[in-house]
This record gives sequence, C-alpha cells and structure tokens, in this order.
Amino acid sequence: MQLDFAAKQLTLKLVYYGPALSGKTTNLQALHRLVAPTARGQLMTLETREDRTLFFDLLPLTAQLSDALQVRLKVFTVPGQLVHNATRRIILQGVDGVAFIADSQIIETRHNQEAFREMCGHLQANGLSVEDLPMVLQLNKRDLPNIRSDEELRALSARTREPVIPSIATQGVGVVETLLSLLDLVWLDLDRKHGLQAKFGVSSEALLTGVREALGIREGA
Amino acid sequence: MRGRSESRTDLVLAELGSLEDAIDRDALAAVCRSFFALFGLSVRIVGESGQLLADVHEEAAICTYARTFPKGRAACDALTTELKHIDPGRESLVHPCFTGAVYRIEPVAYQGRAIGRLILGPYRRPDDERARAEREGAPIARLLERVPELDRAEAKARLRQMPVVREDTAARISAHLAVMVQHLAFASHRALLASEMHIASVRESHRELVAQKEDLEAAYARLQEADQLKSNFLSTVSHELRTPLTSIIGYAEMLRTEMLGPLDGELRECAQTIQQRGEHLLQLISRLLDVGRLERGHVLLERTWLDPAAAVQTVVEDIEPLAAKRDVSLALELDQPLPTLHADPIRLRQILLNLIENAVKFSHDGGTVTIRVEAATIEKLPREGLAAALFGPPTQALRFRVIDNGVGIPASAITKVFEPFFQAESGSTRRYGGAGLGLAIVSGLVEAHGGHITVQSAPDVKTEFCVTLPLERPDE
Repeated sequence: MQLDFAAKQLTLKLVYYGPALSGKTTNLQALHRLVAPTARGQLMTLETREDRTLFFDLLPLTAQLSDALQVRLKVFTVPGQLVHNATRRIILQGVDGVAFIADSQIIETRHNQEAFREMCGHLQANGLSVEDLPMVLQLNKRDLPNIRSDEELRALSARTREPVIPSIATQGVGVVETLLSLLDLVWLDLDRKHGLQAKFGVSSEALLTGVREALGIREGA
Repeated sequence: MRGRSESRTDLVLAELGSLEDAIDRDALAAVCRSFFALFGLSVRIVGESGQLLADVHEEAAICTYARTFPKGRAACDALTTELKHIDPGRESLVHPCFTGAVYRIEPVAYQGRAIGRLILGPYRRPDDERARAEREGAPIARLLERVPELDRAEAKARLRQMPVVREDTAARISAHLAVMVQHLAFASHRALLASEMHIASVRESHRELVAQKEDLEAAYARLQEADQLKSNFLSTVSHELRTPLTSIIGYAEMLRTEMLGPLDGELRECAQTIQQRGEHLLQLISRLLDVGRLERGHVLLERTWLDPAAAVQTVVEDIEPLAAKRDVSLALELDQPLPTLHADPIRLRQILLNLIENAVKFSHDGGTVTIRVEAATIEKLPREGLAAALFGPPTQALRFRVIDNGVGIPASAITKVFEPFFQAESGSTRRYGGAGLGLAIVSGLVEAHGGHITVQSAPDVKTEFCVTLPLERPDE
C-alpha cells in the first residue's frame, strides 16, 4: 500500500497467484475488457514467445471516488511456470491482497495444492502473515468437463473463511466479483491497521459502490 | 534511460517514477519533429520536475523582433522559464504570451499519475477568438507597454505571420500528442520493468542459491557434530543412567519378592517404593528422550492400518487397575462402525495412555472418565492447512475425546498445558507426580500424525481433551 496524502491517492497492490495455465492473465484481460477505458491503463504483459507470462502482467486501474480520494489498483499476475520461482517471490513483495486462481479441473488438484503451498512459503519469506493476508479463492474454468462439482465448491466454501468464487475467465464470468471481493477484504484489513475509513470518510460499502461506478464496470460484457 | 533497480519500492508497485527516468529522449525528439513537420507548431516536452526533455521549435518572427530589445529578451526568457513550471493539474490550460499569442499546456498522465506535460505554441487564435481577446486586453497595446521600443506596425505585421490555430483543434492535437507520449512511456516502462525484473530475479535466485549452500554447509557441519554428540549422548543416557537404574529396579524387586530372604512389612514397603520410583525414573528418562526427538522433528512413525477400537480398549484395560484404586470408573463409548486409522500403534498407545492416565490422576475419587471415539472430518482449516484441503475431499478423521470431571485446568494455564515442563499449579508435581512432559509429548506426537489436539476445561465440572487424527496424513 502507498498512501499519498498530498495527491489524495491510495495505491493498492493486488496479486493474482495460481498454478501454471490456471487463467491469471485471462482474468486480467477480461478485467481490461470490462473496465471503462477512462479508468484503466494499458495492460502490460511481459511474455515469452510462447505467449506464457515471463515476469508478470500488470493492469493499472484508477477509480476517482471523490475529490478526497483516488484509489489506484495495481493488479499483478505471477508467472505460473515452475522455473520462475524467484520471480513469484519478488512479485509478492508488499502485496496487499491475493486472489488465488485455481484450476477447477480435477486433474489439476495437485498443481493447485503445490502452488498454494509455495505461495505460503513466499509470503512468509517476504515477512507477510499467511494467516492474516486478505485472500479470495477463484475456481476458474467452470465451463470445462471433469471439474470439481458445485457441491464440492460449496463444501470448500463452508470449510474456509476465504470467499470462494466460481469463474469462467475467458467469458468474464466471476472476474469482477473476484476483484471486488478482494478489494473489500483489503480495504477492511487496511482500515483495521491504518484507520482508512476515518482518514477518507469512506465506508467499505461506499468504496465498493464507488469503485464499481468509477471503473464503469460492464457486467457480463 | 536510467535504471532504478536500487529502489525496491519502484519494483514492488512497478511505478514509473517520472517521464525523464524512463523515456528515450531521441525517440521523444523524433516524435516532436514529426509533429512539427505535420502541424507547424512548436512543441516542448517537460518532465514533472520541469526538466526540458524535448524541444522542437522555430522562433516566430515576432519573437525574433522582440528579442532584439533587452526588455523583450528579458520578458521572453522569463516566460519560457515560467512555462516549464506551470502545473496544469488534470486538465489542459491556455497560457498567454506577452506578444498576444498563446501557449497550450497539456498534462501527460500515466497510470493515474501526472508524469510530465507538453507545451504547445506559441500560436495565435483565429480572428473571432482574437477579436474577443483584443476587446478584453488589446494585446498589441500590452506588448508595446512591455517593450516600448517596438514599432507598432512592424510588430503587428510580424504577429500576423504566427500560425493560427482554433482552440478546439489545438486541444485535439495536443491531446493526440499526449497519448503518443503515454504510449512511448508505456513502451519504455515495460522495457525498464523487464530489465529490472530480470536483474531482480537473477539476484533473488543467486541469493537463494547462496543461502541454500550456506544452509547445506552449516547443516553438514551440524550433522557431523550432532552425529558424534548423539552417539555420546545416547550411550550416556542408555548406559550410564539406564543400566544402573535397571539394576536398582531389579534388586528392589528381588528384595520385595523376598528372593533374597524374608522381609518384614516395613522393609518390603521400602523395597516396593524403591522399585516404583525407579520405574518412574526410567519412564522419565524415556520421555526426555522422546521430547528431545520431537523437538528436533526426529520422530519416525511406523504407521500401519489399525483398528482404533481395539487400540483404545487395550489402553483402558491397562489403566483399569489404577482407576479401580482411585474408585474412578472408566466409560468407553465407541461409534459403530469406526474406520481404520493409519497411525503408529506404539505412538497412538502413548497418546491415549497419557491422556487417560492424566484424566484418572486428576479425577476426584469416585469420579468418571469417559473415553469417546468417533468418526469426524477436519473442518475450518487454518490457512496453512488449506492447501491440503484445497479442492480435495474433506479430510476424514477420527476423534478421541477424554472427558473427566476432576480438578481441571485454570483458564490462565490452558494455553500452556502443551508446553514441555509446564504444570498447571506449582504444587502439582508434588501432589500428582510427573515432570510436565506428558502433554508436550502427546501434542508433538499428534502433530507428527498430521492431527491436532485441543483442551477445554471447567475446573471440577468437566475437562475434555480432544485429539483429531486424519485417517491418513493429508500429504500421503
């Protein structure tokens, strides 16, 4: 988080983490499509020739909530391939919240688990609390066959305190919800630590409504 | 282009500090030259701090004329300096020149932040706009006030040579140029981040390798030393302590059983006490060894599929004599059917024996200890355990509850009962015996099985220890 009182700007760092090919970049591309051009910057992708993320993708979003507060979101993805372990750790530095993008396909269970464990290790190495960091779980690729059932998702949701959001990132389904759920948790967390609500006079509900409006989100577009 | 890889914050948020940090000046100058060729308008690009980054202009006839006079030159220089430091905020603005022309200042924003601005002009506005402006301030008259040496007709003629641009056109083309500069900044930012990430990743990998190498070297040294120490320690403990203790216990037993001759009642009691305390000491030595192993994470579990009901029943049978002596009844409640459990039978016995023995020990005379075994699932995992459960079925588990209505544990002590050498009350050791190691060992063994243990206590009402063990370790 970066707070610039002079410019009345709050900059938040959100990271989309997950195993290789779970759809992290697709999430950002969908967000880029769904957010009004005035509120989004260019989607920056550092990719290799095979269209796989090399270092990260970065989507900057800017929501002017009022004269008193501009919220800048820097949404990053990590490269999923195993070889980029060090890069993933660097990208998690100073993160305010994580969206864990899991692949719903049953065959990907182990990759999901490994990526999650690895992420916990990186967060700890960066001095961040694994237990307290705001986090949402997105189960992507709900349109594919041989996936975890809706029943299993409900069971997972009942067993975890993280919001569990089903999605089809290629169609933009669940993408906005993931971003806004995470933003909500991040705001509540930072409010607890830094009293943001008192500083800016913006409640959690007002923030979400304001951001949704400022980003001009076209639902399901 | 200047690298900023030293600055951690920049990479954390991937911010572009300022235009001058990232942008290629030659590319910027080329864009400005092309812009000038297309529109015939002078253009300057300055960074957020006012640093001039590109300047493509042709001195207007009126400017050349005004600059031949000292006052004109001074006014022109002052304006040029002033222009570079005018902050237009989020919207573009029009700034007047003392010649009657105007400049347009266009902010360049990037990812929601101002990073620099364009200065377009000077240019004249068309007649209708100029006429309004003249009515408002009569520019030629004002120009002559600033530079009285100018010839009025000459100045007017030269001013007319200046390009005329409608305000909406000027707004469009300056906005267009600002977008081009944004794209240049984006390309430069992208290249800058790629190289910074590359360096940072290599540095991080290097740091990781160095750390691993140091860890390995240190671990190797420690292992060599520990190997030696372990051999010494084990031989000391097992030989120097256990061997004489075994003799003490053996001889005490021989005395007690009158193998060495008849004993009167008091002496026999003494022999019995020696034997009991000796056995207690032997058990304590074994537990100390256990704690040492658990703390070092060296407990090797020999897991096998076992019947939990049989395991509990055996332990209960073993404790019954002790319970009978205290008039404590043992109630065993087993769910039917119970799943089989993949655990180390010796360690499971140790866990159950310890908990049930404790419950009997801390029960009031005539009390009841209930042992309940039931199937369960591991719910509401802490985040560390989430990975295991992520998207897999809930972890099937077995729950052992040991409930008594004895003295219990005061609220102030409940969080510490699993710490080694902890006793709920300082007088407990004397009253109930033990070194405060039992629960530490139990807790360590439960964790080694991938399970967890909890305790709830209302002193003299109900105290419950609850051990939940996954049927298999989650990572199996």
